[in-house]
Amino acid sequence: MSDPTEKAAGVLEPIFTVALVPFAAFYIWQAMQVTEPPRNIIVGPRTFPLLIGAFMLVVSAVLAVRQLRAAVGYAGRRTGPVSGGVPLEDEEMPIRDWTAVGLVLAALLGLFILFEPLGFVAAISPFVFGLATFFAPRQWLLNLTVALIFSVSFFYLFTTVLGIPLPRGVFELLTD
Amino acid sequence: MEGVSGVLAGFSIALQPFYLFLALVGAAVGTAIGVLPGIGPSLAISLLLPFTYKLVDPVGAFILFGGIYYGASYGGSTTSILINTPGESSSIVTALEGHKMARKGRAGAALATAAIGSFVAGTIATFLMMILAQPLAEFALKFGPPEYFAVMVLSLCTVSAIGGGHPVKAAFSTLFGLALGTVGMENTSGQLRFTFGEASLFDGVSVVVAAIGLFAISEVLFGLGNLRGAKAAKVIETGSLWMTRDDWRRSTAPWLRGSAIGFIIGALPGAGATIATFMSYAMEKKLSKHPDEFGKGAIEGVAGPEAANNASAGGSLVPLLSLGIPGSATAAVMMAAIQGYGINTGPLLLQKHPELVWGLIASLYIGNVMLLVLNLPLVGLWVKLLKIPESLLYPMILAFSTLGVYSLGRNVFDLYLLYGLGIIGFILRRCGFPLAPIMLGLVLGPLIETEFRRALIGSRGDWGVFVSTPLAASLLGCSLLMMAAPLAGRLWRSWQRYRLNRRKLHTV
Repeated sequence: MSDPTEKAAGVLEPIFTVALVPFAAFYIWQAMQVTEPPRNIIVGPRTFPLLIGAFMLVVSAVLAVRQLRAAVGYAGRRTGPVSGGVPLEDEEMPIRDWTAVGLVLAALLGLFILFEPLGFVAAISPFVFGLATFFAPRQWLLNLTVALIFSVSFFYLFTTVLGIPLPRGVFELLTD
Repeated sequence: MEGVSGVLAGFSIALQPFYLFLALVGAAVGTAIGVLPGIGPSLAISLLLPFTYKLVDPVGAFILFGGIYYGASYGGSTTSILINTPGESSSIVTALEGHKMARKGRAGAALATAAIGSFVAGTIATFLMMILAQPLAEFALKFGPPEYFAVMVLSLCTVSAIGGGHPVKAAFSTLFGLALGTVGMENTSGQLRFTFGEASLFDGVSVVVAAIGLFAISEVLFGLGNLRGAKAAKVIETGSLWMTRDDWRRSTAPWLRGSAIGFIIGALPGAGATIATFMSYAMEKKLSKHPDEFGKGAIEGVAGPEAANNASAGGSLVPLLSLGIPGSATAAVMMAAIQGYGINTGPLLLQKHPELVWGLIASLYIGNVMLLVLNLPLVGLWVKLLKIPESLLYPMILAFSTLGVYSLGRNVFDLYLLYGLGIIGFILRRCGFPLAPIMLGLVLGPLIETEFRRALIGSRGDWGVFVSTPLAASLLGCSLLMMAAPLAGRLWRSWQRYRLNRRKLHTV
């Protein structure tokens, strides 16, 4: 628990779990905003979402209470029930390298923003090359080759064989 | 038996060269993704959808997906045994004994009992599917809206109660999936719900985008989030694949027991392969004549769970084919894929599209033989796949996901939706919420709402309709029991603790 990022991860679960209650409330509020058509009054478009919302509010409240009680010292309860000698899956998956997670998320967002302006090949190949090289710098040549072959071959496979257009972006001028 | 004549017609479809080819492709792709970390069958099927919609008909797509589904559970055992890294959560148990066997130089025997067990289980499961599909579908045709509603509610409660993970957390996942399913245009009144004015959401949250976002993005984040500083896995040589006479004797009964457990658990919606493998392992350990060998490489601990794993894939297809209710996340994606072809799933599927159901079943028999050949003599080929560096594999999965989602509707909004769902999936998994119930909720939600409304309209708004027939009432009663069971267990435990504390107080 010495790593500050690991500490940040430790508060992720309580915050997230407690935030589920306002999420359920928000869902219910949004469900109330749905306009009921004047006809077909038996079951309108609101009824079912309101039911789900009500259940969700109850379940999220139970989770939040459990979480808060665990936080004030009822710990040790959280190793849930074991059904018929079957060990349940690990409750929490560990993450050792939060920097990497942040980097991947940032790179992915960049890819999505630039996907149409830059075009498929020009957005995907630096994405694959960059990420792969961050994790395996010594293989940069292999990474570069794979990134280029991958993006170019899939571009042609989709646009010519499958007939699914992909954004050409900066290559627009070259291919026209 | 109608099943036999049906499946004979199915073989006349499945044996056509193109479908044979698709079954082989499915088996090979399935084995590959089973071996590779980070890609499961539901993800592989989602990523292949752009290809299948363009290139093959629904029957071909079903055959391909069936092959992938079966193949993935074959391939998962290889990495568990040889490098102690399960490719899927359903192969965790196999690693317990399988890797120990491999370290003793018995990798070949472990691989053989896993592959032959998978073959036995797959064949048994396919046979049971063939026998059960028609009667179940005919039974389901008698369902009115209240019964159909009740069956679906029961399946969601099963997912929450025994689908793995903490029951309350699983219940939240299920409800979250249902909530995602209400996004978009409501199918009777045409009212828009939860779209926030975003036109791309009018059609709702696509099952494929959800599957890729929840499974692929989160899996990659976990993979890359633990990659740096990880020790490179050592691949153990396979050696001779022969099983000794003693191996055969000790494997046969676990194969059969595992097949039975796997099929039953698999057919229950949501209680997927992972639970089935754990149950089979626990059972073999209890029944074994050599309990001391468990944990040190007992062949029963590989044979049983591997059979259970494969049989559960077959089991989860039974409710899909006969009722239109998917039994696992993979079956949910298959169902969405078939709906994407404009085919209605449900009890009428078998009547309206017999070629689809029987073609798939026949093809699964064939695919199983192919998989046995692909996985035993050719096992060395698949091990080579492990040479692909993870630092390249994971970014390529992200690139594939982008490609798959974008090509669905050529819409950048879908990519942002993918991003958001990926982050949600990652946080949910990090906090111990299971993801498969979200998929089942998302797929079943709109169907449940439709039946819910039909039932209430039929009864002119009387809510008593849901308990008006014995079947609907008992199904809903079972659902209540499922939900109440964890709660009752808790109350019982706190009551015991309370008594224990009081006794302590008295004795002090």
